[in-house]
Amino acid sequence: MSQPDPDYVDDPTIEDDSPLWRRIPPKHFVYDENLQCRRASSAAFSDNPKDKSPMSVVLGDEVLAASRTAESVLEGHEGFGLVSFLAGLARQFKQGIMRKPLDEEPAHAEVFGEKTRGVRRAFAKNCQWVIRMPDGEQDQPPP
Amino acid sequence: MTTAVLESSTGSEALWNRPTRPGRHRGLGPKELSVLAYIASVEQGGTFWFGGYGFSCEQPIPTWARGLLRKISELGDLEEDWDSYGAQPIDPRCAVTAAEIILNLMDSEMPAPSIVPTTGGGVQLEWHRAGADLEIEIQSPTKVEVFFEDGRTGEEKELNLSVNFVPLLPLLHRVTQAD
Repeated sequence: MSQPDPDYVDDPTIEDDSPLWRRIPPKHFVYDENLQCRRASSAAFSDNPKDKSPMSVVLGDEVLAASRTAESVLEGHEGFGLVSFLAGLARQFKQGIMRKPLDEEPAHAEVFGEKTRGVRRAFAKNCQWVIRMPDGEQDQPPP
Repeated sequence: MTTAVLESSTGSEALWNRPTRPGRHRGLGPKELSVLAYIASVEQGGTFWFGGYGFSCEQPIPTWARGLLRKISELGDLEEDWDSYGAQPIDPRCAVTAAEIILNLMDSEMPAPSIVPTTGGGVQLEWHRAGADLEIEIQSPTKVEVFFEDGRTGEEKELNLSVNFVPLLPLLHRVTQAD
């Protein structure tokens, strides 16, 4: 279920050039020999499998406007990386973005809409690093 | 390649269920157990754990596959919410299917895939090389989604497989080609 709540409405105040940040766990980094770089796997961009809520992101502009750092988004998540993609990219793939502030993360938002493989691959291939994960084996092609 | 066997499923220390989190990893059948024995053989006959299960086996696996199966076995350590967004523990049956694909369809000449856990408890094998992308997502032992894209020709292919994984062979050969 990618859009569990009919009240989910795309928020026009989140502009197309707004960066959406998402944490990437170490197991979700892959080496892309075609691109000659390490990037996030398409598997990293999915809705919450437990409660079926839409994919969580953090509004990067709001984090910085609150005088916070990108590193603060990774607090308590050792080894994780942080990637960014634009709200406009999500909308190109029929996704909407809605603010869902949490006590622990006021800049939290959700990206709702069906996460087809095409959508997940688009996020994976077009996201940019905000914070790279620490160097590790995934810096290299699989042995 | 399914010649490795469990030493015993009952009455010995070769195989046992370790107390584990309630509701996890129930209902493994003999087929899954025998393939998990392959994974166990990564440890060369020692005891091996995947999630809540311990295994021992007799026959070694091919050298080229050991590192890959070890990576699969490591996925058994992932706890719920391992991605911080509600990800589920990896279903051992998906790990078994991933191992089957590797052992039955790959050989020492093929490049190793990235082995990626999926948030729903599955396993994804990925190749991104030779101008092509191949993603094999094992959602359950009988539900395998495949995506292939050839950047040189523009060809795209999506497959939904259940039991017969032979259609993967030409795609594996394609990503094996030299750059």
